[in-house]
Amino acid sequence: MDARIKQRVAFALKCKPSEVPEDIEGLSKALDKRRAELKKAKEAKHG
Amino acid sequence: MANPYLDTYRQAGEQVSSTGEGRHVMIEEFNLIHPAHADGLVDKGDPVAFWDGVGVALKSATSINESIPIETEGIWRLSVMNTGLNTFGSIVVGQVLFIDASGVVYDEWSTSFTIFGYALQPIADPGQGAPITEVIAVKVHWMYPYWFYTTEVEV
Repeated sequence: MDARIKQRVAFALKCKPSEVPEDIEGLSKALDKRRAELKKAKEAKHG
Repeated sequence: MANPYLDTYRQAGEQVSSTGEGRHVMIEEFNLIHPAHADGLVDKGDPVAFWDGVGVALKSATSINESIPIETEGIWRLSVMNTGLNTFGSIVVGQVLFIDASGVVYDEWSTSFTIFGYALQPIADPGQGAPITEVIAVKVHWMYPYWFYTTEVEV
């Protein structure tokens, strides 16, 4: 994965660029996990 | 009155609008972010992103070096996920949509790769439940994701 793309994905995952999964399945899972965390945070804030 | 884009006989990846010149760009497959497939290559009808650019692939690739025509505008029927993470929960007509790094078109910016376009059909709020994915008409539009240019990112 291109370094600039990794940097952008790292922003979305709130991780370091070196921690961005290289494979599409891993990337998809990481994005779903991040969204699940955000959903929990939204529920906690707004009920 | 029914939503004018509602057509249960149409499928994801079909164009609703007519095409026009100057909207098609040629992008090598390896530059495209697209949904996962067994062969790892973009398929015709896939929503794609290439850095700030977005569109719909007009051809399936046979290799990563192949140049693929991308339609960067138009109205397309695409699979869209509503996570409910957007401020209001539901997706309404005219609401901005995003694409993530795995090729998912959806409602939430902070985990996205770039802006993809605008919804022309609504999707209900999933509430506390699992995200809702439906095929809806999407106005594809290439614009820059401003937050990447106003936020300092870790290198």
